[in-house]
Amino acid sequence: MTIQRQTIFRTALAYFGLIMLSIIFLIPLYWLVRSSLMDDSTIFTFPPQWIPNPVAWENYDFALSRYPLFQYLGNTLTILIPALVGTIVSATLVAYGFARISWPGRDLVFGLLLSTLMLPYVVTLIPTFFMWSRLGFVDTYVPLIVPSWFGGGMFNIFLLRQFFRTIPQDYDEAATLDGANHFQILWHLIVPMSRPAIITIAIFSFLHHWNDFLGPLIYISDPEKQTLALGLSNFQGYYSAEWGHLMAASTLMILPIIVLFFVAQKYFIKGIALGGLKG
Amino acid sequence: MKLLQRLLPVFLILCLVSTGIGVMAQDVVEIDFSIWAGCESSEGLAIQNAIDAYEADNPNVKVNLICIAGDGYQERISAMIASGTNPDMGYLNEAIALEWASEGALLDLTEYFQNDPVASARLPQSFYRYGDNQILGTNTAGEIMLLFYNKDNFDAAGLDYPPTNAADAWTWEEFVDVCQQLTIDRNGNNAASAEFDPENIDTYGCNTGTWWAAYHPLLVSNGADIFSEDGMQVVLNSPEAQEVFQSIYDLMYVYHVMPSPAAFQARQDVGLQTGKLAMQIDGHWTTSSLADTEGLNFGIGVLPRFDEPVTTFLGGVTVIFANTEHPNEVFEFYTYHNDPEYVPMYSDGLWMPLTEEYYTDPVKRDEWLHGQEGVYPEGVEDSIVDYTLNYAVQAPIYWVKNWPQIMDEAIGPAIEAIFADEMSVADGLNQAVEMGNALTEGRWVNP
Amino acid sequence: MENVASKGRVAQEQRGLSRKQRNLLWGLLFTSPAIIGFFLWQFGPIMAAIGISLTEWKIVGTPEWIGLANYQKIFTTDPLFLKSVSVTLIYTALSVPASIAFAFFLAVLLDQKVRLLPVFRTIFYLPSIVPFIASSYLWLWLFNPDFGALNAIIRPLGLPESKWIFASDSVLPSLALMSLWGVGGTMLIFLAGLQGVPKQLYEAVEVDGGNVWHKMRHVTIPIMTPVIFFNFVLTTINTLQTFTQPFVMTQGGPNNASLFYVLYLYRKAFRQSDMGYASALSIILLLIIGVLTYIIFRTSSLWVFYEGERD
Repeated sequence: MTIQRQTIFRTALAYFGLIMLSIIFLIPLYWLVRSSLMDDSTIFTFPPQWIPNPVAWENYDFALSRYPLFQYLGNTLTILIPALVGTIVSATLVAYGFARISWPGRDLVFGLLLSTLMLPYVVTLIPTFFMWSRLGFVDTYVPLIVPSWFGGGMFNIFLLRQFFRTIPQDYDEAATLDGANHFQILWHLIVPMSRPAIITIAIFSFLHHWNDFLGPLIYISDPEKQTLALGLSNFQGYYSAEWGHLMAASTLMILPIIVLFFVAQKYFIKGIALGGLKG
Repeated sequence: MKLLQRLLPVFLILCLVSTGIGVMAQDVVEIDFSIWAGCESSEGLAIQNAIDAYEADNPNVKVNLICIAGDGYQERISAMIASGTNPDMGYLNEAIALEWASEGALLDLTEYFQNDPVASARLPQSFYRYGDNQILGTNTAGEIMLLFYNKDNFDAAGLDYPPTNAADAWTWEEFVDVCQQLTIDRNGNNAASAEFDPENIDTYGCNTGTWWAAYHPLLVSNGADIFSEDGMQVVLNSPEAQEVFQSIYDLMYVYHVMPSPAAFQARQDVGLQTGKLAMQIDGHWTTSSLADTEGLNFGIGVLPRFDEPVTTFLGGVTVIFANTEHPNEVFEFYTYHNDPEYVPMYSDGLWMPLTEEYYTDPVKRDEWLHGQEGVYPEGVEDSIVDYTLNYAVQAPIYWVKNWPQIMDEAIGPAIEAIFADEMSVADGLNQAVEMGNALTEGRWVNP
Repeated sequence: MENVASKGRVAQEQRGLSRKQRNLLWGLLFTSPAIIGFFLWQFGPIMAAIGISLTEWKIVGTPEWIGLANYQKIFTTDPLFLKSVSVTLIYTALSVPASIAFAFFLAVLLDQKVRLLPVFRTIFYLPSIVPFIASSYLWLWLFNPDFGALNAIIRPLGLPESKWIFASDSVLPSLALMSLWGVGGTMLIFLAGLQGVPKQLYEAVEVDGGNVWHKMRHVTIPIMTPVIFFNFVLTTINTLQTFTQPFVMTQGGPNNASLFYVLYLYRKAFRQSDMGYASALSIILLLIIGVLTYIIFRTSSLWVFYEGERD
């Protein structure tokens, strides 16, 4: 009886905590949506108006008519899909090489590559642009896609490496005895057991490419090739920003991510089932 | 006519060249032009329209507009110029333009202006000069600092509107007095009354702003300045300068008639648009957004004065990069891209013309100020035209070297500390002078 | 188990090629995309940054060789270098432990068996999705000393009010508080890690009469150490490069109290067009982060346990 009551109490507490935190975490989204339904003169009134009055739907009309949503979406996906695939495939391979194979100099190489995360873009921007411009790839998507196929960045490699290293080595040894090579071990053993981690890097790189503003800003000039994130800046003038329109377009832009995230995190549950095989 | 006049030399050259080589075919000249605004912003759209008109008149020229909005402009231009793929012409931050011109990366436009009587008649304050008095360009458009006000606040308090003629400019005491009468607490008492509750302010009487362009004209008005004439000293600790900063400080913390930086940053409603602020010192460009606000009854007056009435002339610059292959055609377009005849940003209230004609010729002046109904309020012939011609001094950014570092690292933080009430006026200004003097490098134009 | 493993080793060695050599080949093969990518895209710019740091270069024109003069100036006459280093380190010390602990707490909360779990998970991740430029105004309002929500909550509780980001002594803690809101990514990584904790181990603790705290202390945390380690390293590296929040909200103020290192470096590069100096600053940053990361890596063997490598 006591145990049951304790459980009920604990569940109630968990729900209470979750709901309170949810409210706090929902505020920015609510704020964005409410701003997208207000005209520029009321967005900044004080104290803030929490409920738009009047509701300015025209921001959405405007954003949808002046913002070539589908063209930008197409452009964004043209970059995002190959970059995402490249990141997942190459980060998985590289992380396996750093986590599951013990070779001389491994940690040194890993440390060297990790240093790429430590230099701010401010100073690498110009040399990197210089290189792409000499290669003739400015105003194409190449600089935004191709690097993803070469490891997909140390963040992702490091993350997968950490997860791969928690899987007991015994499995590999057994598989090796059965004549499996490294590719087979990776594909049949490591990948299924690391699904939550791989989904995590997929979510991160999706978000990165979806929201990437600076990359397209630096490399893309042709208005026809603009992406969703870059397109948002089209509303900004030198002296003014059209806030209502900007907020409406931003809202439209993050809706797909919310849906995608909602769907993607469900596969974490599948991860549990597989994780249960362990030990 | 004017266009034809300007194009004539180009045609002559083209004819000469083509007969010389014996080829009659005209190559289309492509000009890349980068602006610091989105292509879909009102500014971007207006410029694209002007370009379309230009291309129709000049079939041998094609202008590619590169719109770079937001904070990445300088990054993008830097990356492009470092790899030699920069546009022919573009907007540029004033301080960077001077730096780059003196490094030889911008086209020296001295002779181009000399050979163009129309362009050389631009307002003398609008020229950016470096080296041996060479010209790197002029403002993209003119801007001065003005006193904007909401007429409804004045009507409700039964007060006269601020003067529009610089000769009648309010003294600082008169200004403070009006600010007090216009500042209202939640019980309806104004700041001049004994019952005034500074903890619960509903409407502020004034906001001078706290950035350099806001305090610079007040300093000059009081016989002070930010820098010494030779650009080698920061002179903000003069008694006159101290008086100005103390006066602005007092508006916030003694009279409680101006929002503090904290209150202002979070209460962006403390703008004229909402009626929660009666007067605001701001740049001329504000006219455009105020005019766009429905139901707002605003006016434009001249700044209050300490001694002499003064305003500050400022604004970003358009430059031509030195590696352009078609300097003549680009300069042609340079003089066109901000010609009030073709771009609507003037009658919109965003830009002020650069050509003196628009200030002196009544017909041109009306085209600008009254080309669109309901943009400029009455009295701007005085508060903008006369004020610019006779009372506007160049901002120091036109002539002092190492401006961004001095402002970002020495002066800005100290002034910020004063207005955040973390440092006394004297201590803050002394800090600014001490740190600033270590960074000064003189003037851009050689003595 | 040990037996099987050692048998495997023997089997491999019997195939003639030395195990070490074959591992080196396989290791290089698998990591080659990253190594090649490094030499194609990262090595050049890093070398360029080092080279540029030895010059005076205004982005235009030819860089002028000045040797170590930039470094000398940074260490001897630049009053803001030490300021920005201390701002950044203080903020890192405040923000990193707090955000990791908070993210871990959220992840554990979201790993419970409750209804609507996917909804809660999505909600907690939202602040990481909403563009900061859209929510920064919200924060400016929350932080407002006179009219903001935070002081409005604090006032009735009788706690001392704060000027939050508008005073030099409270701006860094305020920004650290704000960073807790954006822990969605860290939380997600923890959540992924929690999926790998074998549920049987919890049952074992329960059988022994252990409570929630015991489960956390003896099962969850030890098994999660590789993930905690990852988040610790990456959050530290990223926090040392904090830029957007001060750039948008405080511009380094008041009176340089939030002059973060990368904000300072950015101003040098793109407002003052002093790329030589900015490069020197960034090489120093690289060294600072490198040393800190090295220390974290070296001490990790004391507290990080890889289940797969218990030897």
